[in-house]
Amino acid sequence: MTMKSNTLHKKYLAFIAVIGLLFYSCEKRLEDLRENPNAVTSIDDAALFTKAVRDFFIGTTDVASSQFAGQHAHYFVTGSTWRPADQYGDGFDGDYNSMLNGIYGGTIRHSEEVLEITSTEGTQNEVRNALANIISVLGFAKVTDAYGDVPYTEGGKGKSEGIIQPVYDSQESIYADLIARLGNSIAVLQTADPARAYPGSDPIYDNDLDKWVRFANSLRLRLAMRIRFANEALSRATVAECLAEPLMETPDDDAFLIQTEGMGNPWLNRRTGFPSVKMSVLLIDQLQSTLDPRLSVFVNPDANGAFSGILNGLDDSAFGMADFANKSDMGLTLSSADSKLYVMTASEVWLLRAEAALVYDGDPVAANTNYTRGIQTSLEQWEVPTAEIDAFMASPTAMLGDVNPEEQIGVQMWLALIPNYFEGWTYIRRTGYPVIAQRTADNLSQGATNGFMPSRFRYSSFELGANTANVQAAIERMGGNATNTPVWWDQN
Amino acid sequence: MPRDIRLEDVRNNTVNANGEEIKWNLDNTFNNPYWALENKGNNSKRDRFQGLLSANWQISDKFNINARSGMDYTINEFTSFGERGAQAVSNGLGNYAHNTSKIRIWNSDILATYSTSISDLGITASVGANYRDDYSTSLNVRGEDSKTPNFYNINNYVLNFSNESTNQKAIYSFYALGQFNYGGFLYLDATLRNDNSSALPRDNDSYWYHSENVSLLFSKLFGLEGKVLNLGKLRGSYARVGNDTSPYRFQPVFNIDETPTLPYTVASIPSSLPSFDLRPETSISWEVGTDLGFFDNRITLDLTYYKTNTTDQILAVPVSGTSGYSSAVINAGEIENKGFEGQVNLTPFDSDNFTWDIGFNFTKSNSEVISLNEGLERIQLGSLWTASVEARPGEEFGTIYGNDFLRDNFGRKIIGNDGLAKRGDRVALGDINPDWYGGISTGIRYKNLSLNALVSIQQGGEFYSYGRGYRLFFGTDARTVEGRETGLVLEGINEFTGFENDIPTTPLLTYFTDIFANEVATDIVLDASNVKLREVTLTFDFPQKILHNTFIQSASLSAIGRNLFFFYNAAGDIDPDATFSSGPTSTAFEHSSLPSTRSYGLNLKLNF
Repeated sequence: MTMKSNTLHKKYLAFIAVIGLLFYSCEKRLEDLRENPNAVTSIDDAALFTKAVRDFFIGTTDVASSQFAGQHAHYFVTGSTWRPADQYGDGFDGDYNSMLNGIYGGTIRHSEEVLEITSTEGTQNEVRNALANIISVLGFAKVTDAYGDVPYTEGGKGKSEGIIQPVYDSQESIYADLIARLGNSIAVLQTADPARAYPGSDPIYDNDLDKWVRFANSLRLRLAMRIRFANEALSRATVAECLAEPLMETPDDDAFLIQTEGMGNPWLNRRTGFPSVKMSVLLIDQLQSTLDPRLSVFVNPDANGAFSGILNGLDDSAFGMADFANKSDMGLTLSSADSKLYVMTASEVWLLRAEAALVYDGDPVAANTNYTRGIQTSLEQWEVPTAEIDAFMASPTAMLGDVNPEEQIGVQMWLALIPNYFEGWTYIRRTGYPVIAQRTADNLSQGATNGFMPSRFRYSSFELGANTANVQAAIERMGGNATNTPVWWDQN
Repeated sequence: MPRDIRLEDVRNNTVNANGEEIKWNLDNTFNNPYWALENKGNNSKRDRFQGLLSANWQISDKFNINARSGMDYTINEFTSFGERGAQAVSNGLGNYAHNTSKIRIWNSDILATYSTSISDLGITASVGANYRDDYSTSLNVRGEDSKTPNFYNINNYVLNFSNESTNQKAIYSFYALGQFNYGGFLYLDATLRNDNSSALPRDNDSYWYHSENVSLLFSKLFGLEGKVLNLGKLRGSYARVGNDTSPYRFQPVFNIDETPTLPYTVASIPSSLPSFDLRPETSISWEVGTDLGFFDNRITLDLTYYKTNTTDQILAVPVSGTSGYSSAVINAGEIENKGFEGQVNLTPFDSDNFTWDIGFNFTKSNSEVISLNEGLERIQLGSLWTASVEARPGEEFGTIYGNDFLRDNFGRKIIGNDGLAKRGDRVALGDINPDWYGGISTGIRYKNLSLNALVSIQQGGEFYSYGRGYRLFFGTDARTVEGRETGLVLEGINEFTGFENDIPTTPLLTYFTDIFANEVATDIVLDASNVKLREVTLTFDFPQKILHNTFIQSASLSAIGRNLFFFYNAAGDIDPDATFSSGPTSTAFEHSSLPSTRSYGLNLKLNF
């Protein structure tokens, strides 16, 4: 080997070393850049739990409530482009899709992740899992109540199982499982150590597991009563179980949240913003005719100091003459920046118990006790002065008669559920109370439902295209995809 | 703005006694434009620095190494403000935003080139490497609820919001090029390249490109060049191109929400589902063509046939919300694009004083969706209101879907007892791809005066015009006049009787119901076919003898008219070019675009 070739070899070696180093540093650089600097790759599930919970509460003001349920249930009328919903119109294809995305992408996406984390070895936590199950049940119950059959067993599993075209489950099977899941959560939480729950990260009950048990059990009672006309056996058995466990009893147990972020309670923006919301004649008439002290809670006087409502369902020319802009707004107690957002209240629970006592136990005395308790609790919830509570409780409205006690309970439930308008609509769909008459008058719009209150939201054309076979199967099972196709529990 | 509102009334009434905006309607979404003129505004500023370092090492006359490193650095500042007092501006509280972004692209190359010729064979060969590093960052702050009026600074706002984001990506590549020519009639180019990108997962981050181009001057090879044929070339190429995507699309993450008032942490999962095994995009294309020149290029003819298959295109496709996610990043499928292009240029007259050129071009291109991945039956490429542009296997890429009217088996509209039509199924109502494009250009020169004109032709293709929809249901379109006084009896059959509809309605209700309430798209999917005079230019070249004793070498004065008029426009009052978005479906939607403008200009050109 000559000197010359030796130097040459060294040169080659150096060259290869430099290239190799370059290559290595490039690869290293690429690897560093793969990490997203804008987000984290792992997180304490507490932060996802708060997200799921908050989303559900703030979701009580979503388009499903403000554009659809609140108008269908005759709480209010909205102006401009939202009004066709009050006319039982049949457009809103984009809204139907964004509402579906809203529920699945909010509460369900985040509670699914918590369920995944809390059941994975290493981060397993049965207490947190039980709490996340309650929130997940809330989300799925809302979405199935809105649409009917929806993806449940495969729903929300885009990330955990890679399913982007989930199978639709029947509402019947969904309800059975929701009720079972709540039963499991209640059992776990009754003996759980709060330290293993979400201390410091519970947006509603400040980690008070006793209150969580009451809430979960009350929610279970709501779901059980909802299937009264569809599966009475399961309904009865579940109601009996719920009554044997603690339930929400006083406003202290209410599940509410105050939105402090951004502009505060979104109903503020609905009152002052666009499209405007004006309270309905049906609601104001009910409150005025019974001298209900909640009138000034739910309705804001108009510029003349009067409570003036707008009739639901006006056709376009009648609406033009209706002086909509000057009608009464939603009450300031409901629609100020710091107004509470309610998901469930003790007054609702008492009224559910009144219905159960009446129809399952055939016990009108107990029904009346629960009924008065329900009204009283609602008045206390809204901090009505004691003298006014006493006066109203002494009025015939606050006593269950024997002409149509179910209707009486229904009307009070309709009032007690405010501002959870979505639940109000759902309740009317189930029981038929308060009676929302078929629209036959000349100045009312009959819409796509021949003047009957719509029964559900439609599956959007986007969903029909993105998950075709599964939606088609659901439509076949349900007998259609119209706004007047009843959902499974709607058999009354 | 509705025609029953006088602009001077709006102008003279902008602020009430409480200092609040006076609106012209009840909506809170629109400002009084004259209030906005005084009280809203925005500012945009951009600084840009570019630099390049280059070193060239000429080792011998055949061997050369060149290294370059360049940087492009942009800083954008954007501020916007809206005064207090208008509902449309943060519920009357006033707002302010200040967004800053920096974008840096750093690109470095090293290239070694060797060129030589061995008798009739010319060879150039190169090897090189490239490193590209992209970095961008933005910091946005926003304030609401102003403390004192007319002061636009973030400190002046009660509520402050901010967000920050950084994006980084690097690609390094190695490449080689070779060019060979033989005897001045055969040319061969070949390239090979390998890219490695940080935007793809570690296992799939490397992808290859290559291309081969051959061209043969057969007129020279076979000695055919003469009076008739002066140029005859056959060319063919084959290429494979790879592509990566934007960064951070394969890693599941959690965003931390901005929650200044909350005592606990809130995190959220992005709504787009990442793809855990993202692959690079690949596109394979080939083309063949010929260039012919006759009579000393008085007649030239170029013909090309091409076909491109793009597979694994990386898209964030909208997916069923029931998955928990609204979109998913996927390698989408395969799209085949093939077409034919032809161009003929003629010079019928050519003399010292008079020349006439005329050229025709023709393009026919088809894009077909061959397959979609992940079991998808369709991909929604874009949507506006209730129309969408979709990719479905076996269909044109960019088919427009929307609701049709409810019809009987003979296609007749079904009309209700209110005299109005009903919504039917969602069907394909058109597609965005024209059947063909064409163009005619011509130039006539007489002495120093020349006249050039350009006409473009598009045959077929559709677009969805929500602007037409607005005008129809707001009653500002001339089509809505019919029946306004007398009532309108729609063509169709009665839903219940099956007889010809005879129940009148009004144009107002018809268009509002069809387009807005029932979301029927049929009447606002418009034919994009058009023939347009795009440009006419009249130019005077100043004669050399005028310029003879000046420092000016040449001078010309032109009068130019652009976008002059339509010879034919199937859509009538809407310019199909005025569609509003960017991206592959940009021609699909027109949404109340401003009418396109005709422009005239004078152009003086001096060369010194």
